[in-house]
Amino acid sequence: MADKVICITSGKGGVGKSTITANVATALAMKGYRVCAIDADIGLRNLDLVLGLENRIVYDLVHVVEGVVPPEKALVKDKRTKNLFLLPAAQTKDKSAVKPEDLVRVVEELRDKFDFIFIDSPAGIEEGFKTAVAPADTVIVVANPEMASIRDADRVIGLCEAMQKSEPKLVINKIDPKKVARGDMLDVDDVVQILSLELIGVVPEDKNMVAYINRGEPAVLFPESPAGKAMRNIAERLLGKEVPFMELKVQEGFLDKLKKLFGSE
Amino acid sequence: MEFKLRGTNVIGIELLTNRDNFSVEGIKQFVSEKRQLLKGARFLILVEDYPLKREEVEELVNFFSKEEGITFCGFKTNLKENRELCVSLGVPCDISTLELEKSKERSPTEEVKLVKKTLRSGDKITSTGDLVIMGDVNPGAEVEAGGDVFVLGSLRGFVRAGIGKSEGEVRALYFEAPRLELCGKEMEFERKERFINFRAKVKSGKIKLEHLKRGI
Repeated sequence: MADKVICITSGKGGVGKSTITANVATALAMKGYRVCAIDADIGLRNLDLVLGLENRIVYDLVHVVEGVVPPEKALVKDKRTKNLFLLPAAQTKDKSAVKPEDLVRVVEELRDKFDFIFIDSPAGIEEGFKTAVAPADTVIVVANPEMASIRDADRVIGLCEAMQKSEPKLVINKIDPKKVARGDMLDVDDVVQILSLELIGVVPEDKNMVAYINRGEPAVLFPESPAGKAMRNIAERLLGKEVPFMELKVQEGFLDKLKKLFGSE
Repeated sequence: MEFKLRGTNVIGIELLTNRDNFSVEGIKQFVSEKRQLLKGARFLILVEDYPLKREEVEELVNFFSKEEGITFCGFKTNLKENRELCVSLGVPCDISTLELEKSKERSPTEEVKLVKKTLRSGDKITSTGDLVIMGDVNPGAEVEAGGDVFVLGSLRGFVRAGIGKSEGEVRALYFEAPRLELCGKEMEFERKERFINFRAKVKSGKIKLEHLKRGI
């Protein structure tokens, strides 16, 4: 079995850490693995919303750390996928409520009960990030194909190296083949060349993603979603399977075809 | 005593002496023997690592003033005290240019640092002397060196080289950085400006850029 405790981080906010955590965890749970997703973004919890479990939370990570309840009791069982559990973050506390050694202890207690434990890291490189990364066997860095995200991801990779973690893996999220073809967006090769990490996923921009998140339904549940398919592929790769990367084609609309026909740019 | 000669009749001939073989009598005898060879040429005595004495300089100058056919042009040395002595006696004496450059440009505390990794955003590497990076310098990484900087990879971060010096260079296999500082001089580059086999050099106060290809 591949690494068990996986931290998903990025440095920059809004790149899709929680979305990828929720979707990859759901994809693995759908395959029959017991999966736990821990939201380490104390004070700014989102993972429960992406999974659609916001109304089922009773206890959270801070309750577990403070010894109010054991970790098993704070876990929220997913309503659709039976092997998926969420350990939510507290919304009323801040990052200082959980120290790296606290999360390491919680993860150690849960390690034997699950096949995979995902930790959704907060944005930034401060205490919260260090806490989220501390118990991880492996780190997945999520980057968008834009320079600001890449620079932050690069910083996070450097910090992981300094923390003596094994080399992180890379997921490129929100890539738009149309913009890449126009030269408005960096392509996959550009990002990999700068970050020089093992690529385990390329997730295309999906116009339905906002709707999925608002409805609390992970995209992997929908076979027609290209982003969902890309994230199911990430799950396969985490299991050690060789899955080819999706071909990112530019889909031509009727107007594009018409423009091409008349030779206008 | 056998000495070595260097140079040509046209430009000038140097007699090479050092701490081990310097002797006034020896030089006199050698020159007397090679009188035919040295005839008409500019003649210099190179003295390395041997502190000259006043009487030795005077005796040699006296000797050469009597030698017709040899144009004695003075001494060349790597020691400052020799030059000062010669100047006080009115005898021309040059400090070897190599030594001059060394004393001006490189102090004994300067190091040559080899970094075998990619410098990521937020990393900062400094060196009092030259710096060789076997990897990339990513955007957001900083490099500072008292000497030259060589990047055996892509240079996309900020490099400040040749700090406090008048000459220096930065080389990179691939260059795509917005800014570069070399010997206190700043260079700015346009966005998306890329160079292959990039070399920036500062010599005699001027910046020179060399590259195999601009853009890809």
